[in-house]
Amino acid sequence: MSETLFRLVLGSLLIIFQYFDFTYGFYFLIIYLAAEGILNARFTQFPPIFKKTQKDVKQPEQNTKFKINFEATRALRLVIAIFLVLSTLTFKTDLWFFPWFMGFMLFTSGITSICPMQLLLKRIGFR
Amino acid sequence: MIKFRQDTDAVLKSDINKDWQTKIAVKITAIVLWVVIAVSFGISVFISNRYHRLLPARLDGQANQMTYEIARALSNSDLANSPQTKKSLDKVFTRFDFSAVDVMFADQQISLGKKVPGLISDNRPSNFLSKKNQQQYKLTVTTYLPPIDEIVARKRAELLGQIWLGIIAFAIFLIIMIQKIVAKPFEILVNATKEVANGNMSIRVPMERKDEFGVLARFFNEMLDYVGDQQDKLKAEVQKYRDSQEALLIAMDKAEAANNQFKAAQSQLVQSEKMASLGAMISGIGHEINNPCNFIINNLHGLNKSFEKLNEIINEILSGDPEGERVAAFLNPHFSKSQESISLIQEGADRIANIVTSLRTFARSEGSLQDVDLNDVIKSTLRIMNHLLAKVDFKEEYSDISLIECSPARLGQVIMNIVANGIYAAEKSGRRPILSLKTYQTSEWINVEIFDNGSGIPPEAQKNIFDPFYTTKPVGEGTGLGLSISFNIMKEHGGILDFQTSSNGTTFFMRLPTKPKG
Repeated sequence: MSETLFRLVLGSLLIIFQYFDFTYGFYFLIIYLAAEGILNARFTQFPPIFKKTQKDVKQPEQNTKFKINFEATRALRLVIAIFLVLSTLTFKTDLWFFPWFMGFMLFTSGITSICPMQLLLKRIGFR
Repeated sequence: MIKFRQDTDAVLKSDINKDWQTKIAVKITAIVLWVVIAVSFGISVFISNRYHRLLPARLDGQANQMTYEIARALSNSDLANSPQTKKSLDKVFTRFDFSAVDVMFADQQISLGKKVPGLISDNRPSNFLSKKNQQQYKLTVTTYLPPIDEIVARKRAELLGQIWLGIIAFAIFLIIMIQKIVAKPFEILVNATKEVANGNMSIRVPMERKDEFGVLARFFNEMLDYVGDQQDKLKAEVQKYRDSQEALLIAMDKAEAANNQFKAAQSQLVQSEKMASLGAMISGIGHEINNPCNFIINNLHGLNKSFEKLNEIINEILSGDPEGERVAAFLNPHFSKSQESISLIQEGADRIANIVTSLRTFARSEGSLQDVDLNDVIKSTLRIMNHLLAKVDFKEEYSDISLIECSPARLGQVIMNIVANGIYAAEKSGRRPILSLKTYQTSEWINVEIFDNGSGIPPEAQKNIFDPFYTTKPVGEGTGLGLSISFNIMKEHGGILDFQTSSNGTTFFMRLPTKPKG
């Protein structure tokens, strides 16, 4: 699953869980995103049986202009997980709109492949 | 130009067609969607807060309204806990936001909805007049509300869910519209630019729009018209330039040919002058040599006679005397040897006289046409070249030929050039040098064939050997004029000079008409 598709699905799930007030879904997403962010894993990327092997895939060059040697996509997962914890578990009444907002923005970035949060993270210095 | 094309092509293929077109639509979509989301959220938060603030009053009103409608429904009912009564009350209940309702009237209780822990109850006492028996009954409606936050959250979710669906529909609509309004015209312009970059200047952008794209397309077409006109003008100028260049080349060729002719004429003139000077000099020298030579020949003849006479006289005087016989025997060999020497001197003097006569004939006849036997011309020329012919195995074969009107000196010059070249080639071949010459006559031509067993004329030189100043000899050994002059002399006499060559040797053919041309 590509990063764009992942964001589209994640945004849709957030909106659907919010609509049906499916709290367990939020728990699942928080755990999933935290795991991907912490372990730097991509559980939705299937083993490359019919694709090129990892060895053949051209690795992105190490660019020294980045200040922080941490992938922006990985940081994005952690940020979403943290925001979900804050908005659905901690400050649910005050930040009721935040999961909705995240859902909409993730869904839009899935359509347009432009994620403002990822751009911001890259601007900060993430890889 | 090629680099520009390749670069353009690469840009069009790699960047614009694949990514750029998509990106502009995506960027616009993203910006519009972000704006829509921000506005939607603003509106939804505003609506949500207002709803939250007004909900208690609204629910109070709803409770009053529902109580009134329930009372009206019960006034028409049969005042029993029957399914019809329950159905009519349920119809009222579903129109309001309450989770559950207990309706108590005439010792009856009907419960509607689902009661779960945490619901907030509120009693609404009232009464109604039954139409069935015209009696007044007490009515108590207990409404059960969920927490207000839950109701608000439910309403918010419904609102934002609708917004989300609206955003999906709007995004699809937006992408389609941007594709149609922005990306498609760009694609048309890009394809047109690509065609122009590939050299197709006849392409035009068919875009009848009044917006910026229409203006851009119009200017693009006008630009192509202008470039096309300029290109046509440039082509015309280039064609003119090419025509001029061709004319110039033709003129240069003509000038070169004229220059060559001039050079040939000049060289011929120089050669003629040289030959004339040489002729005058030879004539003078010949005259000066001829007189003493005649003295020598005449006196040698007398000296020979005198020796013969002296020998006879001495033999007569000394005959009959043994001592005289002995003296005569001693003197006779000396007399014989002296006479022999005189004969040899006479022979040499005759040869000098012959050469001088040939030289004088050669010199005297320069330029003037005479009826001559070509064999004699050849012989007198070869006599001059005797020292050269001594180097080769020379064979000559003369047939009877008729007299022709020609310049003996000039034809002698031709013979001399060809024979000299033949000797040079035969010597250079590395084989035993052979040169042969033969003359014969056909009905129209008097032919001279001169063969040498040299290594032949190289193919690349064959077409140029009659050109002035063309020579295959090393620098300093040849002027390149000999065969050119010979060719012109033969032409002046109405004759032909030709050759056949192979690696075994070369034969030059001189053909002179039996009757001179003109």
